[in-house]
Parts: sequence; C-alpha cells; structure tokens
Amino acid sequence: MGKLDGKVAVVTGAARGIGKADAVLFAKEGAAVFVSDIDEAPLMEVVKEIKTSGGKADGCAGNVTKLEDCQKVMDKAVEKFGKIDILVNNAGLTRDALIHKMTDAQWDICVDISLKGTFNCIRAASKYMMKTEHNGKIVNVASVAGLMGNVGQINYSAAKSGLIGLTKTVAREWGRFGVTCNVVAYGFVDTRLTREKETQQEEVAGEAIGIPKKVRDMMLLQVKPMTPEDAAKPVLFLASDDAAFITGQVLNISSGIYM
Amino acid sequence: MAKRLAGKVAVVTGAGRGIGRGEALALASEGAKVVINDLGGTVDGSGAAHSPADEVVAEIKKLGGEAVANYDSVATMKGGENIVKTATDNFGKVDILVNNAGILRDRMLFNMTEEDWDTVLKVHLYGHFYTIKALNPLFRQQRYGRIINTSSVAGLNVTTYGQVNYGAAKEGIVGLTRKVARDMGRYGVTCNCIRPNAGTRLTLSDEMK
Repeated sequence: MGKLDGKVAVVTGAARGIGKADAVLFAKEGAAVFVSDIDEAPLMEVVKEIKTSGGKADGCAGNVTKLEDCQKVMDKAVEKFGKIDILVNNAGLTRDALIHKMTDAQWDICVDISLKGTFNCIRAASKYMMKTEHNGKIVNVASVAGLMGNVGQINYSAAKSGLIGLTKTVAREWGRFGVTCNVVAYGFVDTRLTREKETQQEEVAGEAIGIPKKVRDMMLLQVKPMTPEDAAKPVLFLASDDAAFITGQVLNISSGIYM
Repeated sequence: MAKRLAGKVAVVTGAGRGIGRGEALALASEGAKVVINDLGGTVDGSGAAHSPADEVVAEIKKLGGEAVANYDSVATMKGGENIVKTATDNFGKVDILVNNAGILRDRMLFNMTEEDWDTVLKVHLYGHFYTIKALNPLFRQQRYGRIINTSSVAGLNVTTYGQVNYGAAKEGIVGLTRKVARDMGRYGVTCNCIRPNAGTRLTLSDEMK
C-alpha cells in the first residue's frame, strides 16, 4: 500500500538530484510518474531506472521557460497516464554572482527557470487541474535563500522568494478545486548546485556550477548536507493525502539553517 | 508497508480528546507505544477525570496497539516529570513528545483576570517547557528526540477576540520551539511546532457540534 497508489505525478527537472529522487520515491509509493528535464539522455535513464524497478514512468524533454514545452509535457502525461494529480515544480538552477558583478543573463536565466518556469507549468496543467473536487497537489521547490537572502544569490533569492507569493496565490485560486499548493524551502542538499565548483567541473547552460570550496567548507562547519533522497521525503508528504489540509505553506527543510 | 514508528515510544499530552487523541491514534497506528496524558478537565481547565485518557488507551488497545494512561497536569514541573516517569516505567524510554495539552479562558481584555492570564500561560507555555525540560536528560543521552509543539493561528493576523492570554502563550511557544531546536539540535533532537485550525471542543460552539 503506497502513499500515492493510483496517482499520476509530473516532476520537472527530474534528470538528476532532487527531482530524480522525487520521481523514484513517488514511483516506489505507487504513482505513475511523468518526468521532464532539459537534458533528454539522463532523463530517459531515470525513466528506465523506474521501470526496471517495477514502477510506472514515462517522460519527455522540455524547457520550462517555454510555455509550449510545458504544455507538451502536461498533454503527454495525460495522454499516457490519463490525468495529473501531482505537479512538482523542481526545475531550477543557481547562477551565483555578487550584485555589482551580476549580468543580465545571470539574473534572467535563474529567474526564468525557477519563477517563470513554475508559472508556465502551472498554467499548462490548469486545464487538467481546474476541475471540481480535483484534489490535486502542487509542490514548488524553493530555498531558505528565498526566506533569508544569501550572499551571491540575489537572483536565486528573488526567484525563490517570488515562488512563495506564487504558491499562496495558486492556493487561493485553486483551493475551490480541492487543489493544494505548497512550497518547500531547502537548505543544503548535496546536488551539483552545491558540490565543490572547482572539483566537479560541471557546466549548465555554458557556465560552471557549484559552490567554491572555501565557501562550501565554511558551510560544512555549520551543517551536514542532506541527500536528494532525504530531500524527497517531505515532498512525498506534501504530495500525499496526508497533507490534504495544508495549503499555501512553506515547509522549511534546512536542518535549522534558517528558522 | 512496515510501520514507520515500530519500536518508538511517544508521549502525547492532552491526548484524551480532540487533536491530541487524533495524534495519539495516528502514532499508535504506525506502531508507536503511546503514553496518553490527560488531566481530564473541562475546556477552562477546571476539574479532573480519568475517563478521557482511559478511553483512548482502550481504543488503542482494541486496535492492537500499546498505550498507557497518565493523568498529571502539564502545568507544573512535577507534572512534567511524572509524565516522563510513566513512559520510562512502562516502556523504558521516550522518542517522541507531542505537546498538545491546552485550555481556553477567552475574555475580552478589560474582563480578563490575573488568574485567566496565569492559567492559560501555565498550561500552554509553561506546560510545553516542563515536559521538554523533563525529557531533556533522556534525549541528550540517547542523541535522539522528536518534539512537536502546538501553536495556533490565533496569535497571527486573524480576527479572533478575547485571546490576549492564548495568543501570547501560543506565540511564546513559537519562540520556545526555535530555541529548543538550537539548544537540542546538537543532540539529534528536532523541535517543530504546528499551527492547527481545528474544530474541537475548544473552538466549536454548542450549536456547531
């Protein structure tokens, strides 16, 4: 008896990290999972992994900054699995720079993917969720940076904070359909956004990603990073009927980095 | 699916009715052994009775779970200690504390007596402190604990009246929660609080029940 038996979930940014962990966990709990990401190859590996473990999954690549891509993802999910019960807006990235050095491009890409991308996905899913007694669950992915700000992350903090107002509005507009909308605010999760920048040599959309070693070592003095699998469990809670009466809320999952 | 709290021991205060009872049943259904604490008094805190706690204990046992009753008031240091002693005497340890016990003395400010103020603070805010304090040595030693406190929406920007005592207590619990989390975090203890908006004997008028 899984917590998500009979449910259909869409997860964006699911090729790696937290999104992948969400998809894998949801499938284990009985959901049919439709995944999306801008990177097709690792995305389809996730689909394969879920199916090999006996779960139900499918997916298609897409760029959340384009409404038509988001619409394609939602339409294909419904075509394949018949409905959408759960939407996890997880796609996002960091593009760190101090305020006076940050370029337009660095601001735009970060805000477009996290904030506009979430808005696009919700718009695209609207025709499948704006139904009487739909009882759907939308979980947006933010960060404690959006609650408290963070040096070097003015773009990220603004986008993640913006997601809170977005979340509460969705909760108010779609509450009448029994749809809840909540947002999780992570602290330090071990993904390519937070691994050592110098060591991992990872690029996303043409720029190196990660946290510089000196900064990261200081963070490690305060808190241990959680795994993507740890990060997925509270999302499962919010996506399940156990959280049916929780809406418009920020769930702070940061081991107390910010209270 | 394995029960998520198998092998764990939980203490729930004010578990004889309402939210506390709901929480106790949920914990027991996931395999926890539960101490059902309830003074068994009225909404305004007067009187005492064994039956509310005893009934929930019977309910849990009937469903195949394990539970034991405790009738102490949370509003004293000794009460907190006794509640913990019931847990350790019967189940050997405590892993989870749900601080739910609470009463109401709703009075518009100009009618509120010193006793109305004191009693609500004592049961809600002091009650949270006394149980957490009593469990502190055990939680430190075992390097594990889960504390769930109960605040309210009342102290926020909601339009309720006559709750100067309650609003103060419930917001005080929020500050207490953050500071317990800081003091106890290094021992593997988490402390969080919920703000429920529930229909219970504290909130429903006779016509609504």
